Amino acid sequence: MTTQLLTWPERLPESLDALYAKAAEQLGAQVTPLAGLEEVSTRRSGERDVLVAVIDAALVSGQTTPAEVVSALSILAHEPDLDLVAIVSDGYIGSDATDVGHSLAGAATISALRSMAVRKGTTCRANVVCVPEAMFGIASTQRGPLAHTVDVDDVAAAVTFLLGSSGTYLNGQVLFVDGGRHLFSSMTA
Amino acid sequence: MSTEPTPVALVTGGGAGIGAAISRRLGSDGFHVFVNDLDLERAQGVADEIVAGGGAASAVVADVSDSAAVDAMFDRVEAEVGPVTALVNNAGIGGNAAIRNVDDEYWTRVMSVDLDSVLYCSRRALSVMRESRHGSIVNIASRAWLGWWGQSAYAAAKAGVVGMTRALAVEMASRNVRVNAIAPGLIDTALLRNRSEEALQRLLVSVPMARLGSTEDIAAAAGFLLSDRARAITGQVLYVCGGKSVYAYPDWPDR
Repeated sequence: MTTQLLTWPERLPESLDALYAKAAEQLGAQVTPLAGLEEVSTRRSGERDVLVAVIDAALVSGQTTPAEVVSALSILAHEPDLDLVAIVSDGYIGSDATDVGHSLAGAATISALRSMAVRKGTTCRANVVCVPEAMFGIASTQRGPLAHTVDVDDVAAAVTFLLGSSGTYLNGQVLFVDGGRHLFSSMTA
Repeated sequence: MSTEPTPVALVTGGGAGIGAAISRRLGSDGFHVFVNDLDLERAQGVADEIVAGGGAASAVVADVSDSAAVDAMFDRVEAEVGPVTALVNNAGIGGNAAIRNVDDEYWTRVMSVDLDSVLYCSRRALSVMRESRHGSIVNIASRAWLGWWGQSAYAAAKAGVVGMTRALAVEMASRNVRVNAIAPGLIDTALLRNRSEEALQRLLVSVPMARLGSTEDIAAAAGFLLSDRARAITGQVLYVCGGKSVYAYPDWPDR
């Protein structure tokens, strides 16, 4: 049986449209879309599945609310043997563009994954990829130190790094795929 | 027919442990690897291994805490193959000293090997990278900078490495040069294997994954950060620690 890349939500913003397909290809996995994170336990194949959850995509499209994100995270916290990556926008660091409730969901996600990393550390790994809020249409430009504009290939490479064989000792970390934007905040040192 | 310039990696302290694993990894990633060490035999051993595996590598001896020796090393690398496109500042010394034992000599030695060396090598590598608008640096930091017993000098030096990583990332971004750091947790090297099984188990209490990392885990992270796959990542301090950096409440020593 092939490894499944469980994904949520189904719909991604245009900037990340090909993310699941690219990550699945690089991981040699098969995409299994979840309608909601509560489906996770019923869609498992029994093999070593991995999960990627693009938190802000669900929020900006109105598919979920910050409160629902928090309850979904507690479902993930009880799911055994599942390496996962959550993708959040960098609005949680403090932003003049991101809605306060929305940034709260990002902070909650990181906090929850760090606790999962500790509590379930012997059986699974949980990490976060943090990307510019502009990827979700929250801000209009990325404005980072690097001239390069973060694209879906960069995010897919990071997800693959964290979920694949290169990342087997990475746990509870936030990987900033942001052109260096995080450097201007004390919250990231 | 035009030929791409050879990607050249320089790994300081590459003769053993984490540095050797990074050297081997970059060798298989297609770099001509210059394996730096104080000890020629160790550096040559790693370089020979890379060559035997079909890669390109050379040993280069230099004390990286000596800026003249670092300049001479870069002169040689540039003359033999070409400018360094991937620099790994890995050389360093650890040590355990309560503050009452941190004398001037100890402090100076830790700071010069762990921090001055990063300045000397980065300054030299960046003088070319900023003009060619091509290249990347990975500094080996340590989670110790967050604070640990007996680590005041080491933590200060590694905090310096973290600060330099972030500042250089900002300063070099407009030149398309990326600077990142890796903070290894407890890695299975000779240093740790010398400890008793009981001491090791006590250390592992603070690691959520309840195991040591391997030198290959660090090498994989370095390989990723130095590759184009990480072209959007700069200034990152990546803890490769099995979750130890999330929090690491240890067995408290006597208070």
